[in-house]
Amino acid sequence: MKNPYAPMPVTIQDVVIENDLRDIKTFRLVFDSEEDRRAFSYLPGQFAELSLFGRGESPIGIASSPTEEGHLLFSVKRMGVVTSELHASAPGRRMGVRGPMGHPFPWDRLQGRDIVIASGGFAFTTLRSAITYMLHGDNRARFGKITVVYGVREPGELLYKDLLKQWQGRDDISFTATIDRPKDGWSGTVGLVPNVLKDLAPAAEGAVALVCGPPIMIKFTIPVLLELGFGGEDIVLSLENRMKCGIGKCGRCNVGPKYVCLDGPVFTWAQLETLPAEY
Amino acid sequence: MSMDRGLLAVKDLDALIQAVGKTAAFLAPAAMGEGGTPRETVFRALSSAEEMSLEKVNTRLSVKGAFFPQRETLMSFEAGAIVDAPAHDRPLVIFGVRPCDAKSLLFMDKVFAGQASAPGNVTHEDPYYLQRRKGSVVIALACDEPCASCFCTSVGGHPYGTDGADILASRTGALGIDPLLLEAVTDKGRAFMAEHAALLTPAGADAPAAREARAAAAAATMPILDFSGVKEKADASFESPVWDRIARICLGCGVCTYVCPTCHCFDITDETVGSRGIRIRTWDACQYPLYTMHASGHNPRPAKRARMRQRIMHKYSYTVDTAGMVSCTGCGRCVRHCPVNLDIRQMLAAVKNDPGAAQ
Repeated sequence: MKNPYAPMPVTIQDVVIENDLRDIKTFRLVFDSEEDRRAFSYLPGQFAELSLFGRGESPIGIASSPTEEGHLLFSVKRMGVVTSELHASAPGRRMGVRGPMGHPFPWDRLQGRDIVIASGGFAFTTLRSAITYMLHGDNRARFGKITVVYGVREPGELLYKDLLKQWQGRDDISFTATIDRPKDGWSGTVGLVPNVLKDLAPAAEGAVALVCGPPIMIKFTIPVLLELGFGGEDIVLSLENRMKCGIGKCGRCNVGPKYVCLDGPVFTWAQLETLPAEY
Repeated sequence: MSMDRGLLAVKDLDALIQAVGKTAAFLAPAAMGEGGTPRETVFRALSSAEEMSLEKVNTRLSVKGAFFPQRETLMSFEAGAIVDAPAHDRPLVIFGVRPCDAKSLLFMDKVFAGQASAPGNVTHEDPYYLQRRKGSVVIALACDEPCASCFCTSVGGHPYGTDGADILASRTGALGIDPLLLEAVTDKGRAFMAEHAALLTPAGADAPAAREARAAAAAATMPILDFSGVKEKADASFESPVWDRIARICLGCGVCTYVCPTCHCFDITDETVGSRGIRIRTWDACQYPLYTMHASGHNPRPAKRARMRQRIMHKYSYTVDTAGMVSCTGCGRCVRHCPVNLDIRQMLAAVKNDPGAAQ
């Protein structure tokens, strides 16, 4: 019997500081064993437990795309014991990964559809995975129009800045980065995600929306999407709750009868409407 | 050779413990403290029948700890790598498990085998629980004198119930004087009885009828509470003030979760000395605010009302959806051990009769 609590050994290959505050870093991890690398088969939207022996584990969304072979990326904000230790770690450090966990975005249902992405702040990580995946040469033709709105409070909070520049230069994705309030040196869009989305008014017909962000952004983005004509089934969100085991046993991440780790973290708005708001 | 039924004389209990002890650990209710009159009992590994204490209606802690210990080492590590992930324990023979606890194992088996989850989810097996469980024989002991806080018959159980048991033991007369009737429930139980056939004597042809009569008499002492419709009412009452009324008196101590046979929440933490250490899991409780608190400080269940509601909804609604069963077996421990006398039966009645429920 495979032990789902035993992390697979990995090594930190690279660390990138993502934001001006320097409290979000992206860690590139490579598997120590080829067998583990092959076993870790994932799709965008899933997460994994990052494991530091002596400190503990943290559930983190996978920021890399399976099309980026050979390594995993995790963007981690420094918050508690595990993430602080991780932030103090340099390339070459060995650590552990358990996963992949949870359901990915519903790729079967996304196929052939226009994709609208609304994201705010730090929650952009699994959407980096989703966008990279869709833009890959093998996959781009499987999707229609891709419209992305990514909002942060100020420019220094934007993650993956080099990648964003590349995306903004492409003609097969409409990518809008927006900041909450005007700021010197920023010539891009200014405005909150729901308002920018409302102005862009992407067609709801044949489209699916992926929404990841802080609760306040989600609260105001859902009505905009509904008004644009998106049905509850076609609004896809990703939840976070405190987790330990990640495999539906330790109990703490439940939302009503659903476990975020097992049944989620991806839920449709139609599903969430039937569940208590305990997230 | 198979054996379905036999009598075990009180004087042979010790011989059974010795015989079992050659290959397995023999667990049975025993006094919590060393020596003296047992005010409370717990399941302990015994080396002689003298230590056994079957007089109490039930043990303070349920049988779950035999398979899911309050604290266990998941793995040990050194310099950032796993050096050992222990999983193998001695096989267990657990004697004197009351039918409510035996029944709880059916639910716990589903949780730890990954079967308490929607189809389409990945099935994760928990090797620690499952290996202990696989190597176990559960010998239930029927209840002739259920106590006032017991309510197994209101949640589909029975003081002579066999769910989750491999063997049902029941009295033929006075406890500690007259022999116990052992009846195999599963093949595993049958094999165990065959293995220890030398200690058993044939039961008379009237034994099943006598057991039936005792079972009926025991059940007749228990009022049956009508919990039908509680799930539907609880689902509809999620935002009702009834939860405030219920939660007001609760201290949030969490004892109800520790003594519960089906509460299975746990924490995972690391303990270290230098670069060596162990990763352990310990029982945790949904009644504590930190249990669900995010790293950001946001808490999805910030108030006692939400945490109390969680515990009751989990037993009476959520596991009906996920595992197809109410996960309360009516053992009554949460009633007996609550320091402020909260009674889940009254809470369920309050929910059921709540006029404030949403339509």
